[in-house]
Amino acid sequence: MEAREAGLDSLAAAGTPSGEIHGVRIFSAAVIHEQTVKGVIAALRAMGQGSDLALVDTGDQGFNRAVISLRGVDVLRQVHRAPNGAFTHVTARMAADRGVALEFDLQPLVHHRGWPRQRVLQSHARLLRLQRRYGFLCTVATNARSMLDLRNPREMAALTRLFGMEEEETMSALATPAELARRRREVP
Amino acid sequence: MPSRLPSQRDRRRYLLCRVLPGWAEPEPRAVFHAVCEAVTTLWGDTGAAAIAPAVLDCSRGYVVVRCRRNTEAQIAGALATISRIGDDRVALRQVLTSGTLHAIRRRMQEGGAGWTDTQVMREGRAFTARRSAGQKVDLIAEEKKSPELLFFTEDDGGVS
Repeated sequence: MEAREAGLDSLAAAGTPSGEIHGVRIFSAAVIHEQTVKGVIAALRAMGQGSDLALVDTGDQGFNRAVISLRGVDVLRQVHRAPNGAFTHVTARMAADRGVALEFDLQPLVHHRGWPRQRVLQSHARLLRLQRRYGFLCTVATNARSMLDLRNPREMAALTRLFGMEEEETMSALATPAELARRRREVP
Repeated sequence: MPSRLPSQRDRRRYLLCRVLPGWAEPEPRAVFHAVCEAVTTLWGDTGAAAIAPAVLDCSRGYVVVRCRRNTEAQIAGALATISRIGDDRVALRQVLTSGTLHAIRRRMQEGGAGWTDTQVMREGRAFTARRSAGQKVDLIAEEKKSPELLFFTEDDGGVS
C-alpha cells in the first residue's frame, strides 16, 4: 500500500511470492549471499523456477566474472562493497554481453554519513561511467526493510543525481527488474 | 530597515513532505535539526548556506520546507537521506514542490491527503483510528502511555 502511495507500480521483494497486491506488481527475488561460485550454483539450482529474479552479492574479480557467466543470474548487487578492482571494464563488457544487471544501492546513501557515504558515491560514479561506456543493464534499489526505507521515484532520482545519474537513466534502471523478470519467464 | 521590494527579495521554493509513519508527530524544532543535519552532511556548510533551508510548518502529518530557488534538487536529495528525527525512525516523503505557499496549502487540504482521527471501540477497548491517505487505517490504543499500534485496512471492516 505504501509502495503504491509512493508511486511505484512494481517492486522486487525477497522471500515473497510473486503476484499483485493493491495494484503493485510484486516480483519474487532470490537473494544469494554465497561467497563461492559452487555455492551460487547450488543456490540457483535450489531456487528453481520459484523466483522471478536471482540476485547475487558481489565478490572479488574472479568470482564476479564466474557469476556473470552463470545461467540464471539476473542482478549483481552491492558492487560498492566489492574490493577495489573487483569490477573492471572486462567485467562490465561481460555483464553487457550476458545481459546481467548491476545494482546501484541507495541504502548506504540514506543511512551513512561522512566518508563511508563518500566512498559509496565514488563507487557508484565509477560504476555509472562503466555503464555509460559498455551499456550493461542496471537497477536502482533501496533495499528497504520497512516502508520507512522505501523511496518514491522522485526521491530516488534525487539520490541518484548525487553520483551523476540523469533522471531518464534512473527511470530506465527502475524498469529493469520488470524486463529481467519478463525475460526469465520467456526463457525458462 | 525598510523592507525590500518584491523584485529584490530572494526567490523561494517550498517543498511539501508527508511524514512517515502516519502516526509520527515530530516536533518542528527536531524536524528543523534533522533537515539541517541532512543538508549540511550532504552539501557542506557553504552548500547549506546557499540552500538556506527552513521548516515553515509541521502539522497534520506534513512538513513544509523552504529553500532558495534553483536549490530544489539539492534539498530534495538531502530530504531523501533523512531516516531519523530525534530518536524516532521517520521518513519524509516528498509530495510537491511549488513556488507559492498557496499551492502547498491547497494540496494539504485536498481530500484524501493527511489523516483524520476518529474514536472507535474494538473488543471493549478504546482506540484512535487514524485514517491516512489511501485506504490505510492505524488503530492507536488509548489506555497505554506507549501507543500500541494495530494495522488495518478498510478491507478489514469494523473500523469505519
